[in-house]
Amino acid sequence: MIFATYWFIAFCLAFFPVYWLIRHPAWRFGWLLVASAVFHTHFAGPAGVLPIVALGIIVYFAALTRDRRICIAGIVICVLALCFYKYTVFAVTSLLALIHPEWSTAAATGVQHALPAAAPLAISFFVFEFVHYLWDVKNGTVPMRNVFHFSIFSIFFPTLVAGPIKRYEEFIPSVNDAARRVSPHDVAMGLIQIGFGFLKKLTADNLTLYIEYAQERFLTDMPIGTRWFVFGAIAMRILLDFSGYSDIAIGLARMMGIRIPANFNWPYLAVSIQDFWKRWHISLSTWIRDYVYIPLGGNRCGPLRRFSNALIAFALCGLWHGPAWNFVVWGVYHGLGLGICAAYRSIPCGVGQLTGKFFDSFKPAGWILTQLFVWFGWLLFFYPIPKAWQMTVRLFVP
Amino acid sequence: MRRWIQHTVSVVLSLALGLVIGAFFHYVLYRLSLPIKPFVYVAF
Amino acid sequence: MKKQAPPSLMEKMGRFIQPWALFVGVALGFVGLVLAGRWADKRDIYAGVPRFHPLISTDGSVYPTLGHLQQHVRANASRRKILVLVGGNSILLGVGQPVESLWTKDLQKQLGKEFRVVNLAFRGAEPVEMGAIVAETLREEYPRMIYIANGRVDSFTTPVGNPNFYGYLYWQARAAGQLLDDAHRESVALDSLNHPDEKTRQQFSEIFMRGFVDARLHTSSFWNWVGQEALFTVWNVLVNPPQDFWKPRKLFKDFEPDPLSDPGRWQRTDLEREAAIVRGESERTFKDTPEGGFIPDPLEWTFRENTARSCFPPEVLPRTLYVLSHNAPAIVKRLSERDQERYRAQYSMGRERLARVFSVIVFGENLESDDYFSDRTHFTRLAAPLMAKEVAAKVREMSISLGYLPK
Repeated sequence: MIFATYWFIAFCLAFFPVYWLIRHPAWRFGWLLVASAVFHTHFAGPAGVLPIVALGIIVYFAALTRDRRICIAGIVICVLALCFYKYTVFAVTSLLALIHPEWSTAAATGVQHALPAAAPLAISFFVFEFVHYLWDVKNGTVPMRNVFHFSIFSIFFPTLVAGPIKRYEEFIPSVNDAARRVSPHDVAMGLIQIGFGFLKKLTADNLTLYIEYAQERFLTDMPIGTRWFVFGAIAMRILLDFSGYSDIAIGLARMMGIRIPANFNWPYLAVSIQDFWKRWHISLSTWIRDYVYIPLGGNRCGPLRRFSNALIAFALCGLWHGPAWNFVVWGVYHGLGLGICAAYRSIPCGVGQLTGKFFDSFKPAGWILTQLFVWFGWLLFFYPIPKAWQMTVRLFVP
Repeated sequence: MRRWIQHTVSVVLSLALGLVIGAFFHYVLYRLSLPIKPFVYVAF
Repeated sequence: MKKQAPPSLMEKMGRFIQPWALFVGVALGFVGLVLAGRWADKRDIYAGVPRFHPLISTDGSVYPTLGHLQQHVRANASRRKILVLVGGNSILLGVGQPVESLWTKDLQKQLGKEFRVVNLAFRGAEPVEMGAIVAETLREEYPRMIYIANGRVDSFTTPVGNPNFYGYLYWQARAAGQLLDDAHRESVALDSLNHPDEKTRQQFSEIFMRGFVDARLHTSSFWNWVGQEALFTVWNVLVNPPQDFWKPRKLFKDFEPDPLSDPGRWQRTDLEREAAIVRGESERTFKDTPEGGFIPDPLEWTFRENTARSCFPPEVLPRTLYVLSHNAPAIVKRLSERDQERYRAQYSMGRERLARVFSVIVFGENLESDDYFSDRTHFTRLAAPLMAKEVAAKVREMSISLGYLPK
């Protein structure tokens, strides 16, 4: 993890005192921008920076036109760039595998040689923020004319690598406020949040080591009780890892006086799938809602269309996490869960109503069912589908 | 009087929390030195 | 109007925080542990440990600090004695020997009271790593010292160590300013920090900064002490049972089993794979001739000799003893006659070329299968006293020639 490097600690030790000591808002803003550029260049390298700069230039100028078609063209370019870097190999091998598996392997090797060694750092997050920006401008919000505002929105170092995904309408005013004044209270709260973040992250690292050891034995001679423990460890690991990272990012921003909304809100207390997605990776789920689900029609269509919109949105959400079928299946799994959650009360003959009343009056039931649903979903997320299925079965069969 | 007591308590708690955070950051620097996955030579 | 979300836990906590009190606390907490680390660095936290078994070395997520290793030497060796500091890898660590039968215990018995033997070998360590660094930094405290290392003829890669495993100790010693001046090594260090490959450069810059942090802020010194004495906070696969991972490492004993209690052990060895490795080693340094023979590759041998020489500061070479050990006969006999001849020629040439750099012994020419663990390199307790005897003789010889002992 990038935050867990000595380079980053040294970077913060050099960055923050100067940031706090600078009084002039423009200079403070400039220092933040320079630091973010240094951070991005260090971790992404020139090969990672140039594509982002190119996309950034296209997005910046496209937004300035406020022309609907140009903004959509900009969105298409960003999405194509993401697909090119992240999904080309997956697309080629998946399609060819349907026709001829051997061609698929050969094509994968060929395509990999044509592509850069690695996708530009954090391209998924860059593209999502650029798409959000262009879509909102297309719908009438005022674009960022100030190129420095746009730049800091793009490469703000705390959130650059793994989010939270920012919304420029909230972010830029917060940056401007922080450039004028950083209170000691903000620095203190940021420090506390960073502390919590690292505590979660280091605990997650321990769980990672344990899970790597345990998953070898999961399908063999492990007692069922221990398998359930490993199952729980897998669920806790991803929460601690991801929310820990978000805490560090939000804490770093807070130390600058910049407010980034929370990205996790006790997701394992959710009592329904809908509730879960209001608490888990909030910046992503709201992005999917605003820029995929609602443009597809959202809730404004009949139940069948609404259901398929949810499935498409969540399939894309899954695919965004990685170019592999198990991610897509995980997304569809959650889409199905959401659809069922939204529609089960309509089951006829009073069944739906009765079920709804039961969950309304006995909240723990909804909580248990939701958590089991989510935690089984993590098996799909982390493991190939056949292995995830085997692991699920072995949780019940010795 | 009550405000003074509240203020003193919050100063003491803040100081204590700060001590814990400072110590924890020392620990974080130690953990950064450990690879995520140790090289287990003895397994070979 | 947007409904206000209820205040989060952080926001509730924030109402009670006095920022400047918190900052003072952070500073005091951090500095307090730096000072505690300085104190901990002066303790022999490995007291009573004859060797660095897996749970107190990198396999077990423990990276002993320079200070702790130095203290361990000081606690085990009076400055009035001739210090025999054993470095090197798992062969000199005594993998295959239960701790009661450790070869360095025999070496101590062989050498007698004038000498003190301390085993600082680590699994997989190169000759310039770990023990070599400690030996170099203790050169003034122990003017009468012999450093023993081992490996193959091509075990010398870089004087600054491997950043992924044991190189950290070099960078720690460098940050502490305890190393000898060595222009070549320093230029290799600077080249590593400016490496053209970005990933390598980042690796070296991390280990450089880690060295500084460990040397100046004593982070590993303190937390290694905590892990050894009170509570270990990193899960490790080697701890058995796994739920005991948190227990202090002083409670875990050296668990090296005695392979001689397992007569069927050779049946599980992939003898062909081991033989292929042995064959490959000699093929790299001896080239085939059209007549069907083989000759030493002069460039390879010159390269190996020069690399070995340049990996150490010149001052340490006279007091360094390099142990070349033979491979198990069960493996060597699988080679063809020609390959066996080439194998023996490699050892002769190795001894000859490396002897131009430091003192060398070649051990194990006439051993039996039971002298070996169940791979090509490690020795059982049967070979331990034999190795101790040969090494002791060479150490005495070196002590006389270095003026540590009268002729």
